[in-house]
Amino acid sequence: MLISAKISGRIRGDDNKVAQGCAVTGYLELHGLRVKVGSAETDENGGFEIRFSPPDYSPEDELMVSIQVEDREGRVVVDTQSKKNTTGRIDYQIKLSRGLMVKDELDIYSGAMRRLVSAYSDLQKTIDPSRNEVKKSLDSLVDVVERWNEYRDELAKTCGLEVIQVPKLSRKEEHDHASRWDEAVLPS
Amino acid sequence: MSGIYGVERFTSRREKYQPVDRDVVEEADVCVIGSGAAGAVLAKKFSDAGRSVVLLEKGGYYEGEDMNQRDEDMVPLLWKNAGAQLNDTLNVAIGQGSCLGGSTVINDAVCFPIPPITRRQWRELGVEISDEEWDRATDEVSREIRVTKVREDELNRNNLMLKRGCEAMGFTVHYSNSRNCVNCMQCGLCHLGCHYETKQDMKVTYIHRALNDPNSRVRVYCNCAAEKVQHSDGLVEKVQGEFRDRDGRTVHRIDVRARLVVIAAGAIASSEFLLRNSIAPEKAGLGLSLHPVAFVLGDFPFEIRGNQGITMAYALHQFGVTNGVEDGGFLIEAIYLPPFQFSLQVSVSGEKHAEMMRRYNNFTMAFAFPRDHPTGRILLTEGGAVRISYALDGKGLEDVARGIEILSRMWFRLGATRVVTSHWSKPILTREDEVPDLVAAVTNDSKNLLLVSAHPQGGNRMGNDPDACVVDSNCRVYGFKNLFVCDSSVFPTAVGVNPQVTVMSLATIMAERINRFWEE
Repeated sequence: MLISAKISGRIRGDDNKVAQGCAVTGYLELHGLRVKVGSAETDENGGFEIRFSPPDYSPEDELMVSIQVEDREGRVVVDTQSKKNTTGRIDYQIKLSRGLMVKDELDIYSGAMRRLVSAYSDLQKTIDPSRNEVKKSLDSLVDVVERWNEYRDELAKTCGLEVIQVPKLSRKEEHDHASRWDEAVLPS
Repeated sequence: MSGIYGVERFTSRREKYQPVDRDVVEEADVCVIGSGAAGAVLAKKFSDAGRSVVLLEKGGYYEGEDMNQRDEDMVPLLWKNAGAQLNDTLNVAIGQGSCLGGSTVINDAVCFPIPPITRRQWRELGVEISDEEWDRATDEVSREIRVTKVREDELNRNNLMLKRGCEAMGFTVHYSNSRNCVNCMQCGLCHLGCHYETKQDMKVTYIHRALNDPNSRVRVYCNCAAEKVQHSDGLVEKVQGEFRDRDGRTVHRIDVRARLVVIAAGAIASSEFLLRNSIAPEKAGLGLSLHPVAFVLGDFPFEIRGNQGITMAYALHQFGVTNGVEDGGFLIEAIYLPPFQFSLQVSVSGEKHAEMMRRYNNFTMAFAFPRDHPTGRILLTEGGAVRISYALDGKGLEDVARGIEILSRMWFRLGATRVVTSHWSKPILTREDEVPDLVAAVTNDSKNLLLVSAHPQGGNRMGNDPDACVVDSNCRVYGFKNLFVCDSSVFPTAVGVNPQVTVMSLATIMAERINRFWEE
């Protein structure tokens, strides 16, 4: 049974300098309710730490953790989504900035996948096809690139990227600037 | 008026931006070609000295908010040739940035000063730059891009594994890297551009400051490929280029008349530019080094999650130039690649490849990069394509093999169930006693070893011998009065460490020299 859990992290402002004096509140999602588990104020390094004991927690359970950040004027500036955690140690990196959002901004990503595939396919033009090992390398590269669409979503989930990725059309959708990982501790 | 211009019709940008909708004729004191680690520094330093500057960048202008942390979107936008730049035998992938800020936008932010051994060796090869100049420039650059050491609590599991492995193997010279990142958000996606703009790349430092100085006259043209220089009697009169859209179609042209032209397009592109213009045709393109790395992965029964956090934060220096090795040598650095690039490094195919990728969270990853001899060459084919001819020589291969051996043994000793290499004939090892076979395969069958380079250097060698070198110690092209090349292409040998700070320092030194002797 997990008897102690920790939410920690660091907050910086729009200028990337650490933000002291922000109020951070940690929440657990329990039985569909968002329950406050503790709060802290960021120190001179922008750091914060909230320790708590998850009630009725067993290892099979998923800790669903979120935080809310208020700036020094008491405005809620970040309110993260609940995310699953299994280690009881969650580390947040927060930037108090939302960038410039423009709904009708140019879609700079259109055709990107097509350009990616054609760039690798075009390598055919620069190689000596009589060399088997070269042909083998190229076939393998093109195969991986062409199959990327099959891999992408599964991999993003495997890597935990859905926890941190901004929206695909990131300039068109409001989003927090927050990355969150389980704390880096190696098994002994 | 200072600002950025390009062919994209953006609605909103942080910097003053204007789309180009016709052919452009420009006039300036200086035309700088390339906006990466060298070009951006040069542009700002010239501007600070009161010169008007036109900066030409082939890639596009993208800000943090455009960098959406997705491989398939960002690699084609930010990487040269969508990441598909390889040597002529396709066993060395060469990654470079192609966007405003160049490779500084897509690198891992690792910062090392030029090692004392490299400085001395370059002086012995005719590069007249004193230690005092290097020290002063390195200090200035480090302040501008805010270089700080990675803290212990910022090391992710993959970096901690390298640290633990170094201790287990009894190595003594290993430590955290320094980086140009202010309060890093640790998303682990540096190669896809920094969404948060905590990475202090050229776009958010030198270029931003140059554009926002009220006295500056810096005009930056993005999506603009410099093609030709017109010159006579050793005097460049103008630079001609083309504006191209994202699919490479020419949409407008540009002519720039400038009193002084600096090519800072990076290794490979700077040589390509000289060769296309038949400048120093017998020498340009020779002496390419790549720091080609061989990745070695360890598959562990527990999760490493190497992509989570700062991916390049720790290095083993025991066998490198930073630890007194005079000839060759290698560094071992922890790294973890975003999923797409990772998938390209796994040297198996089909279902085996898919199985490997499902283990993404359980691998450790590090590489050995040798300080390779400058044996490569950039040339133009009869059809006009760029060909990069490169193969490791005996010493380089020996160093890579030693690095691969150390990493393989290290992962096994830490409990890896298998080691995955980038050698086609020996991609997977399940026991440490297979390591000698791997070393033999690397040494005897190097064409099946897949390598990756993010540090191309050389091609336009600097030095005091006009017969062997392309530029003199002031980076001036021999035979020209007002044409310079200043970037990693002028390095006479590989620097031996991640080179961005050395490139910026060189640009700092050269800009100051040129400013000092401007009226000449």
